[in-house]
Amino acid sequence: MTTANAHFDTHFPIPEPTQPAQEAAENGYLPYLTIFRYTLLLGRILDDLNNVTAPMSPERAATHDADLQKWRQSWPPDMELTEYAIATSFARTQEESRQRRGIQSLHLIGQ
Amino acid sequence: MLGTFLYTRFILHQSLRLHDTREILANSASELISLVYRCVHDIMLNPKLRVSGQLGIGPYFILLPGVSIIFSRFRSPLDQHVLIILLHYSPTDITLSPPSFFLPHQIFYTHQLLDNPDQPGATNFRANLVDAYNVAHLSEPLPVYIRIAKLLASTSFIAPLPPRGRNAVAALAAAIEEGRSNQDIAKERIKVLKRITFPYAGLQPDVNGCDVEDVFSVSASSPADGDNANSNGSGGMTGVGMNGKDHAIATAPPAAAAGGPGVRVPERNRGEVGDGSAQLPPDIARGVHLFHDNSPS
Repeated sequence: MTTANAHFDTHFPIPEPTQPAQEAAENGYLPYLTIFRYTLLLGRILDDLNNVTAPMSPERAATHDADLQKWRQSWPPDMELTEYAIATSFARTQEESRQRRGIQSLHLIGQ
Repeated sequence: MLGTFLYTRFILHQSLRLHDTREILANSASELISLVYRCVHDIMLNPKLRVSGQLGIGPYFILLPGVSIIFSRFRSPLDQHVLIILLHYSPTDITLSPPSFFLPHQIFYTHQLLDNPDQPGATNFRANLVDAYNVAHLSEPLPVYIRIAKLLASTSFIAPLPPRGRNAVAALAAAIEEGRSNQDIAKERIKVLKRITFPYAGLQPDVNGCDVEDVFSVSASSPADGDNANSNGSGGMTGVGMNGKDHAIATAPPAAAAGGPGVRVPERNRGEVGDGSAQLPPDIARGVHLFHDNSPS
């Protein structure tokens, strides 16, 4: 059995380019994509930080920093909940999607 | 994610010193400290929240950089000097129980306050510093705290305050709280300075899990102050923390503290560290020197 290399040549799904500031209420995948993108970014940074043979150059660090800031600004706008918004979204009377967003927001902000 | 983000940014800028570093460091550290400080009480009171990997990771962001500084540029064996000079500048701010070691956020803030105690945002820096102390103090039951304390104590880069030094700082804080006269407070401060400048002078080895040789492990002097600093005359500089193979040299500093060989101290350090500074052991002198050179500008 063979597997073509092209099978691994995948990209992340991106939010609709026509709607740049899409909200998590409309597209439930966005919080997960945010987390995945951060994980990739962190992996790249750690690769450079732990590289013993070639220390990270300031330019590379500046690139990483710019990426980090870009990631921070790419959060879906309705994921930036305050503490009270998170707390109220856990109420039983809230609908399920709202509760889910509360948990995801807690995960994003609290960790 | 937000905590990790702020933490990563702090470490990235701290280790590389990019341009505009100071503001970014201050912003990320204060945001991180306030984020953690808001929830640390709940986390420590509720064991369910303390599960590692979830919300309980908050205090880790304050504590874990303690490991990374071992490999980074804070190699001065006596960063405790910073606390004392901070006390000198803002005596009323530290009314907490004194910390057993310093963590990088605290080091950053203390460096900034030492650089210019009246800079804009200094009040916030002090408030953040107290918050960071509180977080570290509250999270003492965490296993990671114990591990980091052991790690810091076993490596010589940052020596923990010995019990007597802690008592001296506590006495100073009490004197300030009770509102004694300025003269009394000055006396207490000098006591603390002496105790911190020579933390292990006159103590038996292996006090509090930390050996004398671990604390005074920098054996030879640097070329800058090398003419009369080292009575053994071995010359050259062994690496910081290359641990005490050379027992004769490693035990030299207490002798210096007791009035042994005269040690030349850089001129600019003399006024700051008070009466006990006339005969600094070479590693302490170099520590102060490093501290001045490394403070972010």
